[in-house]
Amino acid sequence: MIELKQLCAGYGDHIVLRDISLRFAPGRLIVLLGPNGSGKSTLLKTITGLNEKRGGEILFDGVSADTLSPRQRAQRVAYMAQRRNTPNIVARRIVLHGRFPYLSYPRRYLPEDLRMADQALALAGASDVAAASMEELSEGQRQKVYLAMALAQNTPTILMDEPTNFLDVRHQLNLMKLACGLKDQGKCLVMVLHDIRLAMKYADEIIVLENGSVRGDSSPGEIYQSGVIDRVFGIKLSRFETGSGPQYYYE
Amino acid sequence: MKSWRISCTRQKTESKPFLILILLVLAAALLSICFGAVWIEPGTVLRILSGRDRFTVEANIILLTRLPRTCGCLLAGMALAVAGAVIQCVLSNPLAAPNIIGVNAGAGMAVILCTALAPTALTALPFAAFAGALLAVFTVLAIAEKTGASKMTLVLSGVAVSSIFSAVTDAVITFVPEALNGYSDFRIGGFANLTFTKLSPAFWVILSAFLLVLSLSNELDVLMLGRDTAQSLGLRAKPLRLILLALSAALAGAAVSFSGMLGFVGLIVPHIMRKAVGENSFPLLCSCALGGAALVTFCDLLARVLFSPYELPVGIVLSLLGGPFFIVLLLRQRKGRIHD
Repeated sequence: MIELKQLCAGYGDHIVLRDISLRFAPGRLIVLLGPNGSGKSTLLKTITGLNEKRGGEILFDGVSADTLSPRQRAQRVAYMAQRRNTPNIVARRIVLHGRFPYLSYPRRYLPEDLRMADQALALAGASDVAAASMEELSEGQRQKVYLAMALAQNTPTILMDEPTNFLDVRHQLNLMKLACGLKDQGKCLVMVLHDIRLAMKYADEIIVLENGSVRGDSSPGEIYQSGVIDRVFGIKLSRFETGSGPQYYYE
Repeated sequence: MKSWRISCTRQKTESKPFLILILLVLAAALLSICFGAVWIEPGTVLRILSGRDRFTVEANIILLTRLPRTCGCLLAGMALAVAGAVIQCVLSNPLAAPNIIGVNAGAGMAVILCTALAPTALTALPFAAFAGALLAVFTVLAIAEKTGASKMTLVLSGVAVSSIFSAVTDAVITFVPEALNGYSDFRIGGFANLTFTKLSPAFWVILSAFLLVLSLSNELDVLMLGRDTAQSLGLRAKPLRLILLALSAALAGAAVSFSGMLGFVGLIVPHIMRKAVGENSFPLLCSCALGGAALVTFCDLLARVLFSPYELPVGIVLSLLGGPFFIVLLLRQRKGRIHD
């Protein structure tokens, strides 16, 4: 469980996030929505420790993040960055680096780490590319490998910054279904999405950010009723019922 | 455990490239000892090296001249190539090389100052070069650390510090033109007149720095994934980058102290080895060590025999051979790219 209390963060003199108080509970799929520059990525980076907070508190299971070393924090939260380098390394080796936070110097991976890496590859649907070099893979396949790396990290919470980027529609749906499967196993998934329809369909909780502040934090149904998405994005979000539940579209 | 590690690091990293590299190193070393003003049979060389035939003319030639020179070539090639691989990885910049973080400029300035101030103190030159290289690199690191140690800041501060040191070098040459004599040999690079006494301090520095870099190979791999990913995996990216750059400076500075400026090795060998064994740091660093050693030794051999009895500085041969080869590699790489 991650708790944010009056969290403030920014870059240089520019404050991006103001007074953010949120809870990321186990077994939840939480989606952050908001226009460009609203502070979604900054929020994920601040929780991960990539960006220093300016005020407030971040708690991991009641323990202040300030008291945790980078390694201890990496054992509690995994982060899939929006942009990454793509070295010419075999995919399985990349996934294995997800076990990095559990090793101490001189870091040498053990058979147990390899087993967990293989499990993560299978779970992310990337076993077929395990032996391929990252340079040979398409962006969609690379995304799966990085997801497997986050899974190998075996943390209770996984933060994903725009994980559906570069994925075609089928792979986007597969990713969301995989996220639902992970939350059913008790993990908390927090993802930044730009696709409002995907978010409304799959999320348990939607957090709407605007100008660094939370404008809404509720279930998709309540978020829809409140009209906060219409106001923040300047669109008209509509809902219609189908046999497989409510679907959303906007204009 | 061992077999598992091999299976895990395997991609194109089969043992074949390593066997070829080891054979190349052995062949280069043997030929480097056999060839020279007097040809010495490989059998005689092996007898002398194994401790027999200690008191012949050939033994004197080998033990006093050719063996130190060959060891110098192997050591300098290994150190510069590994330093280049580490710098390229840490800065995520394929164009980075020891000269980018100020090694050449710092060493060059120290050598010219030494030649100008104490023209007769030739034995002090290697130490001055080493000290100058370290001074330049630590200046670059200090500036970069103050400003956040981003890879762009490091490269830019390297360029700035290099240009300041080069300006000092040019100023000294303007005021003391005689200093140019000692400096030009150093600038091109070469292994003439090497002795084990001259090599020994550099050997220990290079060996320790290489082992330390190898022990950080997993960290290097994680660092290659990008700053955000590396830090999210619990890696303290900033201090690690500084440690790795300081180790590269030690490797390159120690090599430059006796070989002169052979910066090109640090650029091309890591590129060639990436094609051969992939970017996994452990096999990459080992292959760079072997590849750099073989390349410099072969080039030094060519430098000695091409226009015998005249000897070319090895830096010229390295650039004339390495440059075109590198261009061909770049052209082939462009054609072979799958996903941009």
